[in-house]
Amino acid sequence: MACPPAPEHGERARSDGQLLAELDSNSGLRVLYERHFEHLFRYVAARIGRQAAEDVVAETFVIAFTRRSAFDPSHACALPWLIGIATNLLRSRWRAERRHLATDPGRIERGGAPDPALDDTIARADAASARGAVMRAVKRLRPSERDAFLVHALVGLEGAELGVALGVSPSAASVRLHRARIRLRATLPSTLLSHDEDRE
Amino acid sequence: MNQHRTPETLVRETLEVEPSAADRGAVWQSIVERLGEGEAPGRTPTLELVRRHLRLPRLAAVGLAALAATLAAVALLPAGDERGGSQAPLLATASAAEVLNATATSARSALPAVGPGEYLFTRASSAIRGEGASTVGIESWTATDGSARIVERERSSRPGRHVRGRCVEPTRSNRRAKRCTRYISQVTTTSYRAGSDIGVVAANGVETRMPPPQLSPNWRYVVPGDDVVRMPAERDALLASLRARAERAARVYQRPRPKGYFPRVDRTYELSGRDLLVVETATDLLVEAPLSPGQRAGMLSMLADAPDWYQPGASAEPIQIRNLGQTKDALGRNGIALKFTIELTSGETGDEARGASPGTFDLVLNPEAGRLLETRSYEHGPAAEPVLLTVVAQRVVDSTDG
Repeated sequence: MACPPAPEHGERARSDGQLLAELDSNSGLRVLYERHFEHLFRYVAARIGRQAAEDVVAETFVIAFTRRSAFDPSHACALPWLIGIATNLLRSRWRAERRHLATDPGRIERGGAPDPALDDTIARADAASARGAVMRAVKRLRPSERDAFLVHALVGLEGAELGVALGVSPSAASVRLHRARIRLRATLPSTLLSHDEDRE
Repeated sequence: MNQHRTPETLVRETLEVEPSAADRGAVWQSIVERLGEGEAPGRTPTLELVRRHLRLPRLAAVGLAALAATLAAVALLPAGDERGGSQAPLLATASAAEVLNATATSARSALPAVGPGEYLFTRASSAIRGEGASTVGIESWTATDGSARIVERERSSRPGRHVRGRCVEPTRSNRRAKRCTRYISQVTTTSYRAGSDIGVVAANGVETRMPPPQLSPNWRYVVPGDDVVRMPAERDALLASLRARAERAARVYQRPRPKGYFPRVDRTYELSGRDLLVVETATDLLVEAPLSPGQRAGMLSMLADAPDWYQPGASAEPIQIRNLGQTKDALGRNGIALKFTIELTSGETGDEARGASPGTFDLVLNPEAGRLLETRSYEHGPAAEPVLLTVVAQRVVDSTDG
C-alpha cells in the first residue's frame, strides 16, 4: 500500500481521517497535500501527461476539500479516495488520455535523470519500440479495466483499497484487475514479459 | 530495457512521470486560488459570480449555443417583443411603479399556468464583460412539484490564453500571454427531484449533491420548488409570505463560513435589510419559477410598491426605483429599463470592499407583453459593466427534451 505513514508528533501526526474531519484551514489541507501529492501526480500525469495533470490534481484536492464530509473516517488513508476522485475527473478527459497514449513514445517527457543504459542509440530505439507496444496495449484495455490496472500499477492499490478508488466492491476490483492482466498478456509482445509472471 | 517484465513494471517504466518541485508548487498555488475564489465542484469562478448576484440556481453560457439560443428566441417570442410594444413611448416617461403595474396587467395573459406533468421552459443567456469575460447559456425546465433540470453552457467570450503550456480562461493577469485558438467552455447540468431542494450537479464527469448552501443562495432556498404553487397571488399576502420565507433563509445564509472563505460572515442582508432578499427572490422567481399568471402579476405589483414597504437595514438608504426610459436588451429587443438602488451608507460586506453596491440592479421589461426581458447586476459598482441575464425564450412544455 502506497499510503505514507503519518509522523508521530505535531499537526502532521494526524491521520487523514482526522485531517479531513477537522479540515477548516489551508494548513490542514497542506498537510494532506504534501502527504499525497506525489502519488496522485504520478498517477494522473502517467495517464494524461504532465501539463494536463496539474489541473486535474488541483481539482482533485479542491473537490476533496469541499466534499470532505463524504470521506469515510473508518479509512485511515485518504489516498484511495483521492485516487477515486482523480479517476472520475480523468473519465471526462478520455480524449486527452487517448491522445497521450497515442503520443510518439520517444517524445514523452518523463522527468528525472536520464537512464545511462539508454545512451546507446540502438537501445533508445528498442526502448521507444517497447514503450509504443505497452502504450498501445494499455489503450486497448476496456476503460474500467484500464482504471483498475493503472491504479494498481501506478499507485500500488489492491483489494479493498482498489475497490474504494474505483467505487466498486473489492472482489469486483480484483476481477477487473485480473481481466486487465489477461488482456495485457495477450496483447503485449511476449518478449517483453517475464516468463514466471503467472505466479504473481 | 530489460526484456523480462510484468505488465505492471512495463507500464510503470513506460508511463510514469517524475513530479518536480515546480509541479508541486504550481498545483498548490492553483488549489489556493480556486478555494480563495470560493470554487465548488463543477463551478467556475465566473459562474459563481453570476449565481451570487443573479441568484439563479445554476445559470449558464454560450458560444455556438448562444447563437442557437438567439435564433430560437426569434422563433419563440411573440411579435410584440420585437417591436417593444405600442405603449413603450408613453411608458418611457411614466413612473417606475406605472411601468411595473402595466407589466403586471399584461402578465395575466402572457404565459399560461404550468399544469401537472408540464414544465416552465426558460432559455436565458448571461454575459459577463471585462476581466474574465464569458457568456453562459442557460436552459431550465421547472415543474410545479419542484423537479427541475438546468443545463448551463459556459464559454469565455474571448479566446483563452496560453499559460505554461495550457489554454486557460483569459484574465487581466494573463492578458499579455499568447492567445489560444479555442475558447474555454464547460457544461454543467443540475437536477432537482420533486420536493427536494438538494441539487445534483454534474460537471466534469463528477456528480455532486448541493444542499442549500451558505455560499450561493437562490430562489429555491427561499421558496422550495414544490412550494411555489402554494404562494398567494394577492400582493400583500404574497409580500408577507415572501418575507417569512426570506427571514428563515437569511438566517441560514448569514451563518459563519469555513475558514478560508471570504467574507467569513456575509452581512449583506443585515446591512441592506432582509427585504433585499425579498426583492432578489421575487426577481429570480419572475425569471425562472413556474408561477401562475396571477402570482406573476402579484409579484410585479409587489415590486411596484417596494418603496412603500422596503425596510432598509442597519447601513442602507431606502430603496429607490427609477425609470431609465426606453432601452434595448442584449438581443436588440426594445424595453423599458428600471433601476433598483439600495445604497449602503457603510460597507462591511465582501462585495462592498470591491466597490460594489449589492442592491443595485436594472430590470428591462416589456410592459405590453408582460415579460421580463433582462436583468443587469452591478456587482463591480454602479459605473462598471453589469452582468447581464437575458431571458431569450419562455414557454410551457410537456417534457424536458427540448
